[in-house]
Amino acid sequence: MAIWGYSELDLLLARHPAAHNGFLVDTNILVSATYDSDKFHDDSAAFIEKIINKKIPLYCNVNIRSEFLEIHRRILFSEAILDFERQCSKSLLPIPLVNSLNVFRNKYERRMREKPNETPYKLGESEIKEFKIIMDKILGNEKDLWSELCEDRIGTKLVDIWNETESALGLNFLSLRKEDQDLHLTQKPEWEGVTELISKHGLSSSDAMILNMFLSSKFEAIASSDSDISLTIKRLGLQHKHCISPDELKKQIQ
Amino acid sequence: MSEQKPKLGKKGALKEVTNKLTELRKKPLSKKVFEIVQENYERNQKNKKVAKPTGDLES
Repeated sequence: MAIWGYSELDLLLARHPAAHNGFLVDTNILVSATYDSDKFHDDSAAFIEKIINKKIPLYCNVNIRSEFLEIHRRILFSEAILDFERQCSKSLLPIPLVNSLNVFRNKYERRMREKPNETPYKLGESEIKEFKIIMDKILGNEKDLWSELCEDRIGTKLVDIWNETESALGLNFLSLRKEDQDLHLTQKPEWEGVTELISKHGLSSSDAMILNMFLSSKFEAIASSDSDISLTIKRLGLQHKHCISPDELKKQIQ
Repeated sequence: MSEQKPKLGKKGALKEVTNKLTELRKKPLSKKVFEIVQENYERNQKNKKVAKPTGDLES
């Protein structure tokens, strides 16, 4: 069996004792464990706590760090812009900004109405860029609105959150240095592996890089709350590579 | 080089990180955000008033 639910952790460890050597953790489980509005927050946080109690080391790489920062950046900007929409008098704002704020508010509320148990809607990269272009032109006496929003909500805080997550979870970094390769990798992850995952399974490039690192590693298990990662592992059907995900997600993809 | 032991997580520390992040997310927007909007609006209104007489002359 390649796909396991969080509740099957003990069974996974009993059947595959080598998994005690460490789990690769995917970005989404780190995000869901630290973001309390995430659909899988309680499950992911409890699962990570269980792993920590069992003294199993957790591993990640630079792609995972970069994706973690990226997703939390989108969450912080989305919530800040929603607060702004709620609190700011629309009569003081240029019409294009009022329109973009209304579109975002409608999408957000529609998601809450139609899928109340899902993770709240967050802005995509192109939507953030749209707000950035408009807010950059709203000028105060000292600075523009976008700069203030960045300083107020992002600043160095996001990097601090990563550093604290890394320390709390005792995250170990996998790199391509010789020591790491000898200890943790069966082969050097090659770009061809990434492109194959993209072309055969339609993965995003960042997911493909994370999965390619896992497939090139000696680790038997990856923990992920991302359906794309668990589904691809299921599709690959490898004997010694396992994915452990929220129980609900396991049911969905099996 | 001797093999280093992997780092391990700290019990209960994840909850603290989540709480800090939630605090940051729920923090009210700075006063400065609304001041910038007000200053921008006032400047635009002033510019409109200055521009209007020229428009009247042309029509």
